[in-house]
Amino acid sequence: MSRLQLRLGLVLVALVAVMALVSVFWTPFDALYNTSFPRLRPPEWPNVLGTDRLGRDVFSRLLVGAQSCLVVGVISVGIATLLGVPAGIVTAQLPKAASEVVMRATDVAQAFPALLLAILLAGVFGGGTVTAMVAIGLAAVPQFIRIARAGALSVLASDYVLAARSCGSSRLTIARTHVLPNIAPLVGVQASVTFAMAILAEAALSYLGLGTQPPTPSWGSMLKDAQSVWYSSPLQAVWPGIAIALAVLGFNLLGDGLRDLLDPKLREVT
Amino acid sequence: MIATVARRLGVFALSLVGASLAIFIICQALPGDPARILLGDGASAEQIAAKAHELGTDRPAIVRYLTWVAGMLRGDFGTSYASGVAVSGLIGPTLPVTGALAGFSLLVSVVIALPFGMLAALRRRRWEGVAVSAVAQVGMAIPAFWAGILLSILFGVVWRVLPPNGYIPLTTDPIGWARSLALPVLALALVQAAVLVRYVRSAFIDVLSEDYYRTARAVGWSRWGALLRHGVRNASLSLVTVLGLQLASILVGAIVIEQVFVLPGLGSLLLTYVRQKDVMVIQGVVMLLVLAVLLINALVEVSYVLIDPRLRTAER
Repeated sequence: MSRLQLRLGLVLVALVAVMALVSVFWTPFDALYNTSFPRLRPPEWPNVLGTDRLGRDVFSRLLVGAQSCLVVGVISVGIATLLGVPAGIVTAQLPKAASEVVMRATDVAQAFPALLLAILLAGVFGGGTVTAMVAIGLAAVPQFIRIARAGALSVLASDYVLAARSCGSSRLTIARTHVLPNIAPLVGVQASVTFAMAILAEAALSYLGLGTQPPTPSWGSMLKDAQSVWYSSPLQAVWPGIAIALAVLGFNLLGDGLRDLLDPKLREVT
Repeated sequence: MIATVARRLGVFALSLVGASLAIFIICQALPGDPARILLGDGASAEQIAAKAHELGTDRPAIVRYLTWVAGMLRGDFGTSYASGVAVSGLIGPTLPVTGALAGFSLLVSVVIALPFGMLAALRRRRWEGVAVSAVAQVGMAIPAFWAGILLSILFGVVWRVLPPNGYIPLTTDPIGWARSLALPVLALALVQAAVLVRYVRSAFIDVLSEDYYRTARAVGWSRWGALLRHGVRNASLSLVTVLGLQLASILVGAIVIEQVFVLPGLGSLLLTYVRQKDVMVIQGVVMLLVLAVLLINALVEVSYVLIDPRLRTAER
């Protein structure tokens, strides 16, 4: 079961990656400014998914939309990992009281869901891809701190760390050579799940007009456009949604599959 | 028991201070002087200074923070810079809308998730169980606002059985109110139920391997009977935690769903003033939402003690 999940997840993630990569070099038509087609055309050759309300090819826009989705995912997961993992490892080595203070701070930080933080930041700094990426990344930092701290605590309690310490290895060396490699799989699972969350958050923000700005296509803003024409062409509201769902499903399955591979005991439960 | 509640209240109060400080500091980063922005480029230095004094923005940050917090404790969230209206007056009418949307969504998602999650646990090796898990996995990947758009198109535009959007207050027309909330609640609840089903399933799989379940089966309880009699209370400990997290994500999801269905809730208010960059309204509404999330977390922790008597005796 977990192998199947992992494979299906990999296929879906690869599909999104290929869409994004291909669209960098080639799309059937210009996704941003080519408005030469009849508006709101139903799916028919050469517009396999039809055209939007400005007469742009929907399939081309869907391909380019994969770029926004991946870029936001990679950057926000990157922010969360780079800030959260070192902070978590350091927290694991702090005295109990200081560690407790950090954990309570992450509790408070977790009361700011990604979307709320992004809306708050958009209200202050203005909406856009950068604000969205930073907000989604920052909102995920507490989870990475928790995962890294929990992982680091169990590694630090092991005999080989004791051995390394008695040989005179510094904290930094131990963190680099023992803690990091051992918690990397845990972090990988968290990254995959966070990636799925980031795609959902970016889509919601773009739908609200606070994420990727026009004319750059994003799946969320395509759904917003579709809503204004749902009486005449309801299919417009279908394609971007399927794209989001497949991408999120891919990263969720990848995360689940990875976790099951790492911990066979969980296979039965999850 | 009392010690637990007291300690939890202390943590809750500290969290509130931390959260309010974070929100206030972020909002201070807004570029530009509100007085200057309000009056425009043509205003003289005296006019701007007078306006700043009127708004209170010429006072030190610490004074403004304390004034804001002290006001909130009295239910006064300050005054909108742009419209000059009391923020609490703006928030008040939106609360029943968002409250009803979030509350009913949570209720409906539990009503859907509990039976399906238990089915998925009991029949986890049969096709029914696998099918429920697979549907839940797909459901988790669907953005609630897309579900909302699709439901709105199907029920509101194609079949015309429910209004595709808009809101009717309860006091105006109770049936119209229920009809206007049906689709938004369903959109939020279906997606949340998908997440919940997975937790219900794993909580009940744990129960299935417990001794008390085996004993109950041995003395003649049916599988469902044993689960309902002994499983629900034991599983509810982990489920309450999830429900707390769920309510937080439902509140945030409601912000987006309100846009899909044009509901005059807290989310719509927030987004209107985000576009106008009106800090007082933004920080008030965000604080209220964060307060709700923190309060739910605190209540969840206190409820452990109520659900599980073992935790009560362990404290003594």
